[in-house]
Amino acid sequence: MISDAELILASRQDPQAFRELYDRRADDLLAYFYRRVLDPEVAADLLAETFAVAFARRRRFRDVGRPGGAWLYGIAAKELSHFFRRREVEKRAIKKLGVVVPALDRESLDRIEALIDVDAHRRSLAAALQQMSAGDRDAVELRVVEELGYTEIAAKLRCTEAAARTRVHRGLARLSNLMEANS
Amino acid sequence: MSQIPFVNQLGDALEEAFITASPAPRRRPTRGRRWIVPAVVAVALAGGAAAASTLFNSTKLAVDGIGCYAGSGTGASQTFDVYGPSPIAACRRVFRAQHSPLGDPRVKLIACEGGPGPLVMVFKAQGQAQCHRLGLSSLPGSYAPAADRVAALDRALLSLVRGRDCVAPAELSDEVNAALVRLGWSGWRAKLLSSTGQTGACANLGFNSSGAPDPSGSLDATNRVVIIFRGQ
Repeated sequence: MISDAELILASRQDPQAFRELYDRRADDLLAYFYRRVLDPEVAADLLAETFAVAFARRRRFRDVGRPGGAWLYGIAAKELSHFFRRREVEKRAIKKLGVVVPALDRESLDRIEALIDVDAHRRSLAAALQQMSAGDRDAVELRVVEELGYTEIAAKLRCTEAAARTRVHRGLARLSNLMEANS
Repeated sequence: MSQIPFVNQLGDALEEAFITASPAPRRRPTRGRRWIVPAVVAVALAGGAAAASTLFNSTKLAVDGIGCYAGSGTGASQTFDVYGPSPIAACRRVFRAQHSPLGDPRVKLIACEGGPGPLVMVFKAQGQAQCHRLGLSSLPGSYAPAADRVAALDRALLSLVRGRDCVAPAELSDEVNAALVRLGWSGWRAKLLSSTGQTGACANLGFNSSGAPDPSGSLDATNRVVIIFRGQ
């Protein structure tokens, strides 16, 4: 099997080699981002920007025996750091590349949300949840802890399904901020 | 294929952009890189392991290129894949082309060495000991002659493919090895990248973003190889 490093080197001449690298690493990177920002849309933008930056810098990659994935995660960490500093995703590389990031459909949202490993984050989640407003906390707990669907959350919160989705995402974004501040 | 539809859709969008952004290699290059420095090969290479190590490190720095930072720290936006024996002059040209205030020769720039790689990094100068403050080192004096040496190799490699419609991989590999010997690149060799599944009859060196041949992208100082790519 061709290594990640070989794919990166090959992509200098054959851009489709970078697609293969993307197919290998995208799910894991998306999970990496989502566990840290707890917002699927932000995680999706970070994923797109990371691969756009990596593609732009592929000629700088040198095979020094470390896994090519480590190089990719280095770029991912920098993008994440920028997001936490500025509270917005740097989108310069995707704009330069002319990529339109697709909208997240419902199935994708559900699958991305399933990437959270609640047990691993239980302690920091509990601390952050205590600092949230009751409204935000209810929405997040119904979705993440009780794992209810948006129809059921809407019924419990007495709002529309779209509003329930918005409240959950807003709550998760605030939860992410609190967890980052507490860490 | 991912189980997440968005991931596959984004992959398609990125792949299309990757292909659009990558110009097809030209078989008849019309222009190459112009280097102002003479083809001086070799620093007065004093013998000894320490000198050899210093030369190797400087050669690696020269091969890996320069990062031009549009500010006084590593958080500034960057331009990479810049080469030249004078990092400050090379970045000045880049900044000027970008219409950045740092293109103005009255604005002082400073060159440091460090970071992952390591790499030559050029910043807007800000007081004494800036490299040290940024956790970097000053640029070694051996960098400029090493960069001249890399430029000479760059030109020699470029001459191997210029004006030729198609060079067989084995033929280009032999020619690259001969050029390495002729220019004193002891321990270096040509390496045909054959693991990508491409089996084309013609071989190429690296290309820059304009589609012009650019051997710098083929040099791998860590493994001391010149990478030769097979065409599709």
